[in-house]
Parts: sequence; C-alpha cells; structure tokens
Amino acid sequence: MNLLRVLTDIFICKRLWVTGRLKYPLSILPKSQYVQRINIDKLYVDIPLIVVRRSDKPKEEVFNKFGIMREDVISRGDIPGMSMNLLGGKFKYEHIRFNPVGEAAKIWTNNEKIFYSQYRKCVNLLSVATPIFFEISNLHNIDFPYVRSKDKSLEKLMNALQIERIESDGRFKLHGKSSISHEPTRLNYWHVEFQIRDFENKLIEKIKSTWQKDAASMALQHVISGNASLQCPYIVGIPKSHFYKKTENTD
Amino acid sequence: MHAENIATREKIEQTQYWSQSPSVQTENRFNPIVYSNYTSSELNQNNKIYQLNISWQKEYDKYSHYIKANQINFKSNVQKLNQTISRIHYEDYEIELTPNNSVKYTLLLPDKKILMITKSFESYEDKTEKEIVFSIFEDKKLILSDIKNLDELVAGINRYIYM
Repeated sequence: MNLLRVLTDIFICKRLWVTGRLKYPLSILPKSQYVQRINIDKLYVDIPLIVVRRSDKPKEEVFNKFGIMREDVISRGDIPGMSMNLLGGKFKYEHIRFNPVGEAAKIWTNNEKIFYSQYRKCVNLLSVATPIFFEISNLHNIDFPYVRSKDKSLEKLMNALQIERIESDGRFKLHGKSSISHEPTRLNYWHVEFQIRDFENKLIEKIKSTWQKDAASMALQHVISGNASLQCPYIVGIPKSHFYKKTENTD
Repeated sequence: MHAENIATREKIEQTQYWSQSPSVQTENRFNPIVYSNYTSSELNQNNKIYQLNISWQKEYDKYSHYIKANQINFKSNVQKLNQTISRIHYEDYEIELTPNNSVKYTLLLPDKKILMITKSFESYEDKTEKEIVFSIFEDKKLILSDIKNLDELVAGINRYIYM
C-alpha cells in the first residue's frame, strides 16, 4: 500500500516535471532521516546563521534610507510565532516565492512520510516576494523592554521571583526575550518561528491582552525592524550532523 | 460638511506654513527685532524642526490612515515631539508612521550609531506622558534598548555625543 503511494507520488511528480508544472523545490521537504527539531541553541553557537522572511511589498517600500525595515511590512499580530526560513541547508532564498498554506503549512510531526502530490494544491506562488534577511545571533536570546500595568498578582509574582521592580507612570517596566525555534512544516523542513517570551520566560503564543500587544510591538520595533537587511550578509552551510539522525551520514 | 471644510482649510494652512523656508517661518512667528537676537544654534534648531515637520507631513500624507486616534491631537503631539527630537545632535534622520499608532524616529548619530526612538500613542489620552522606547544599533547589532523619559534621553544622548 505504502509502496503504491510512493510510486504514485513519483509518477505524479515526474509528470508535473515533464510538463513544466512542477515548480516547488522538493529538496526542502522533510525526510524520514531528518531529526524532528534542529537544536538552534547548539547550531548558532557552532556557525553563524541567517534566516529569511518574505514580504509581499516591493523592496523600495520595505526599507528606509538607513536600511531599517519599515514597521508596516510586518503586522504586530504576526510577531508571536512569525514564520521565517533557515538558510544554509536546502532552502535557498529564491524559494520564498512558494507559500504553503492550509494542510501543507501544518507542523511536520512523528517523522511523517510526506508525499508532495498530496499537498500540491496547497501551495501559492507569489508574484512579489522581497527577501528580508536576519542574522540569528541578532534575534535569538535577545532582551527587549515592555510595560505592563501594575496589579496585585503581578506584584506578588515579581516578589516571588525576586525581580527588581521598576515603575513608570503606574506601570512596571519588564524585559522579554526573543528566540528562534525550528518548526518544520509538511512542505518545508527549513521553516523556523520567531518566538517571544515574557519576563517569566513564558511563551506568548497569541496577543490576547494589552501588555502582550505592547511586548509584540516592542519586539517588532526594536528587535525585528532594526536587524533586518536587504542583502544577505553571508550563507554558511549547516553541517549534516545538525539535521540528520544518524551519525554515519554526517559530514 | 462644515467639519470637512475646516479640516481642508487646516491642511492647506499647514502645508503653506511648512512649505515656507525656516527664516520666513521664523519671521512670521516672531518679531524681527527679537528674531535678530537668535543665535546660530537656535536658527539651526529651527531649521531642524522645519525639516522634521516637512518629513512628518510627507509621511502623514501617505499613511494618515494608520492613525486610529484623534488626528488633530496626534499631529499636535508629533509637532511637540519634533521640537524635542530636534535638540538631539544627529546627522541624518527618518520619520515613520506605524500601523500601531506610533511614530518612529531613526537618527544617525555622529559616530554612525543608529538611534531609534518610538513614541506610542496607544494610551493616547495621557497627554503628559513622555515615555518612549529607544534602541541603539551599531553595525546592525542592537547594543542597548530601554524605556525612558524623552527629555532624559535627549540630555543623555547629547552628553554621550560630546564625551
């Protein structure tokens, strides 16, 4: 049954390729030999890494004259868990034109065998895709300030955690942290997410309150926007040992 | 209809005012006798305010739909901000209106560091609030980021520049 499915997938992909309709880079699909998650903490210590995000705006509208990214390029609501792509593996920045959606954009789990033919209708090909590059060292484990209204439960928590209380206009000044997490999707193993955490190191998954809105704004204004580049500064290949399961396959 | 006319007239007056040169603006605003007592640094600051206001107007013309608060108050607050920001000894600048009800200034400092200042108008009713978020970048790397009173930041940055 599985063999039949594999053969069908190969047949469909070959037919798409021969007729010039296979545009999606199959090299970026997850493979069963790959580890479920690349350890970014370990990887970025070893080699300098770049991630890329696309914008549907032309590049003149993405950056100002200092090369600082305009804030209207990314919506504040997209900041928690914002999608990006890791370069240095199989993903090339030209691939940002492909936008997997729906089932194809779901997280790859349990080493699921991926058949492209199953998801080929869940890919949009974008006509405008301006790449925005970031060095991971400028996004991973970076502190950013935010404010949160004073309340008794927050005060109690800060006391318990022995966090110094800095008050400003009836609000507490706090520090959150941004990070990059490898979250491979069904059609893109090299998909990563930009994540933000509050002062307790709790992940902010969605914006539900005013202080979370403020934290996301701060991360966008001062971590994302200032560190974005129009040009890719460099690309260093990621050693296979970081994403292949077996050590005999390593470089 | 009446309110629309007032708004249009206000916009024309502001455009006319900001399209004048700084010296004409100064002449229009101040008695010439008093004007002659202005020092070169004060004239320089007037020029910087003029440039900031022009840039702000251009940004506003393009992105005024981003402002969700009272537009007249928003504009007058930005003009006050421009006056304070003009006291910083920067070499170049850029103003940006963001979809999140805030104004962002990107300033190039003499030592080529980039200072980014964001003033949010989300808690718009609190007009006395002078709290801003700032970040300093060196070669695209964030080296400092904090929340501070704008007057204190201006004084601190100028102190740093002349160190």
